[in-house]
Amino acid sequence: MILKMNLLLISLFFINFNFTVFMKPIVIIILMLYSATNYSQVVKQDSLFYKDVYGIRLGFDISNPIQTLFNNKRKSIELVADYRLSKKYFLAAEIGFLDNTINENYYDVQTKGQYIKLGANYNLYKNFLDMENEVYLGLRYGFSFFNHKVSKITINSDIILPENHLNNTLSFTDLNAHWGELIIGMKVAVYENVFLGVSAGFKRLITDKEPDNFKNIYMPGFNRVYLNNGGFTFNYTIMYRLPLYKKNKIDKIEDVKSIEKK
Amino acid sequence: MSIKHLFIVFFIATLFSCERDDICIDENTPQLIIRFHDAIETDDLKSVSNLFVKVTNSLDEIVEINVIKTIDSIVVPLNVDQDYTKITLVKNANIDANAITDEFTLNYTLNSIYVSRSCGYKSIYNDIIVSNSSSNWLSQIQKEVDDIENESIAHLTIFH
Repeated sequence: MILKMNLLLISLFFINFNFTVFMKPIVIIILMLYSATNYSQVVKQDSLFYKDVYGIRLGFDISNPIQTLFNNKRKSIELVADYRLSKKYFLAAEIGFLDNTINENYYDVQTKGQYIKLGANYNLYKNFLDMENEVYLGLRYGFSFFNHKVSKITINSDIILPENHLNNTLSFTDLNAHWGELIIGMKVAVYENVFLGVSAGFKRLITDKEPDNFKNIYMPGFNRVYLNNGGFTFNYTIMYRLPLYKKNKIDKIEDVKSIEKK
Repeated sequence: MSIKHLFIVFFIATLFSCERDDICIDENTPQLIIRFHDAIETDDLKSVSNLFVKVTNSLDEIVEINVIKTIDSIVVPLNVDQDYTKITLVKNANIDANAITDEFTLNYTLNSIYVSRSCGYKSIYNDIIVSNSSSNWLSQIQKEVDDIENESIAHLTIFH
């Protein structure tokens, strides 16, 4: 069952690739919820209590290599990691690299750079028994440093007269940006220590070093910068957990009683 | 918050989180604005009867700018691929026998200014100079600005 669901999930990434970017996560969330409800793990109970596993999770974003496959103007990598601090809190970090070219109407812009995001996630989802799913809210501080190369510039002028195509490429280097990000996401344990995740990040630019005679219209880690200095990204991740230690899941005697009643 | 609630929030957020700035609505490359004034009562606007305006482009082709009309001001596009534009002004252009032609050249330095994502770069015209002007029906061309950066004011006044 689990294997079947995973195959379905993976094939969906490909089948739906031509869907609008907004449809994809919705479909995937539905599938993840479905696979989460069907997911049954071998119960390893060494006492009255189930155990919570604490550890470091490492992984990467799956959508980046897939996007590169379909769009050779975009190359990007994102590595993700989190560390479980307590029952509900996780320290989280992402680092990434991006080299992306956009064709606008009057010019092309190639953006190249790195980014790092640091923050924490708070798990809202109450797992039954030894399930390990998460529905979480996250906060991040993001920092990115990057360059732009603007080429194939056509001056935007009255079409009644000949256009002017500039031959030179404009380089804007040593740029950077700081932003805050609110994340809503889900993680589902698909095998022991293997997690699939989907999340949406809502970004707000705090400050950026603007190029002279250009604008930061696209930034690594932020993607498109909208007019209100907002940004929006989806992440699809696969993570592997290195378990470090375990804690009893139920630590209040009232919780035990309430479960016994049921 | 249940998974269902969160799912609904998620769904709504994905629908409303985007705005578009793909359509260029900002002001791009400015055009030359000429106003026509009376040669004696210099403060008064004076219309030119049946004015026809032509511009010579960088390929040495004559480009017609307007339909023949009696007007006191006109907007003329300037070349963005060379640093001068020759402008031809024909008065009484409705009847060939009565037509009187004047012309002048506007020289300038071109500079590219970034406008926005969708509009890209526009040109502005710095240090404008009027040269080679004839005066068959007009008496004088007066420069109102040194740089043509926008279309909010007249850049040249022609007295006739």
